[in-house]
Amino acid sequence: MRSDVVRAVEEVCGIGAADLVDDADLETLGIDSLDLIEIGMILEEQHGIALASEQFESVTTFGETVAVIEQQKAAQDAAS
Amino acid sequence: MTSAIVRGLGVVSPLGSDLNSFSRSLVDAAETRAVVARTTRYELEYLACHASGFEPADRFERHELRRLDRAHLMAFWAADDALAMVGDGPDPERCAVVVGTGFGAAGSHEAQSEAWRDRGPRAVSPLTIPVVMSNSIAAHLAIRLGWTGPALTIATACASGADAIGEALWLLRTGRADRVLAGGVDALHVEHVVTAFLRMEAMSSRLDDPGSASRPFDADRDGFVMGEGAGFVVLERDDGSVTGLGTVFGYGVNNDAHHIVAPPDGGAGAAACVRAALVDAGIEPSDIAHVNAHGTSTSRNDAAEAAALADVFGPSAVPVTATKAVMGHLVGGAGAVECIAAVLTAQSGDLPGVRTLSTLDPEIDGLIDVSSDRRSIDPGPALSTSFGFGGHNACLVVG
Repeated sequence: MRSDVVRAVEEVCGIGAADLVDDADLETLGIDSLDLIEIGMILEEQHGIALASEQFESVTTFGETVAVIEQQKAAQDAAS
Repeated sequence: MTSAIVRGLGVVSPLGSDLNSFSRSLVDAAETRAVVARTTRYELEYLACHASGFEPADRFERHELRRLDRAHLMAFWAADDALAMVGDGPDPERCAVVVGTGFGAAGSHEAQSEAWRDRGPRAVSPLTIPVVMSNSIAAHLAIRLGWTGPALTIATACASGADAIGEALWLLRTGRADRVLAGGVDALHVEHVVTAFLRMEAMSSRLDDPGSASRPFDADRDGFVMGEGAGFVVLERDDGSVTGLGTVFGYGVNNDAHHIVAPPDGGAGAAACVRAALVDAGIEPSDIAHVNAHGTSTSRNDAAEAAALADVFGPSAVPVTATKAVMGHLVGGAGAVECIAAVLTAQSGDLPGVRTLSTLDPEIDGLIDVSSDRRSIDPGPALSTSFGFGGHNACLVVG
């Protein structure tokens, strides 16, 4: 999953994998809430993960972003 | 009435997307800059004038290219060029934006509709509404500039760009703003839009001869050619303290209240609009050195417009040009780009010929002074006319 998130961020924001470390600050990277919506759409298409924008409200780092997406995937897998 | 000084100009057009290329091609272009295009779905062929020299990837951020419509990017491009000509301005709260557009982000609307139909609700981007809402371009420009004054959108079809500049003049006159970015844009090489224009038989079907397809006032004209582009100006009140690249002297606006897509025979509404613009500018018909006509190359527009011009100015009393002959119809962008063309011609006296004009329509012959040849005229005030579906008429007097 993490590598798919990296690819989605690269596609939406043009930020390379080398900069996408766990404690990288989203604001410093230039990733805003609208970017997260677009990244979420790409992952939804690939993995069927239905993400809501409020899930990203308290997210400030790349690592936290990946964690939210992985948790949603796990929750959906458990429910199905 | 108070005039507005044109401090900056910017264009995206089939004649070029920088002012030098545009002004050169305006007089040099020898034919309609059209190609035969084909819709992906159903493979309908139509004539298209594409913007030339417009390379959004060279100028805009990745997220702008992804999220925004081609119409937004054309507007940004022309607006940025116009603003690059002016220095720091008044307080942001005294700065306004007026955008004219017939359709706004039609391409994005089509793409999201297709995503919804083909792949379901969750394929529709949550970012759709901020792009396709009619006011989106004006709002994005205000955000981009940090301007907190009025940010308005005007939709009067093919007259939108002219009305935007005219209403900007009034924002300055009434003291509601001290600097206004005003212009028009449309990017309509969009399949359902093109198809709809084809269905109403408004577009030229001269697929075997794209170079002469847009032929305003010609006996064999058979419709307009779809262009795309944007024109923006930066206007400030003429209080004697600023100089610029030109002047907007006056504005006339009205409606035919007649038919949703056809002018009345004789062009009474258009004639009244021209007269209103001249009165607003405080000048006589004989003061006008040339007319940049709306001249769509449709049967009804050109006949009504010629009658209206003859009514106001007298038969063949003023040199007329029609620049859609070479760049096609920019719809919401047309009135603004043609206003800019009129400013350039008013200053240079280098009047573009209607290059595609072969045989003047006998019913128009004697009504207007139009030629396929480039002509040298006395520099002086110009009239730019715009007439839109819906019966919207907008005329600007510029110099």
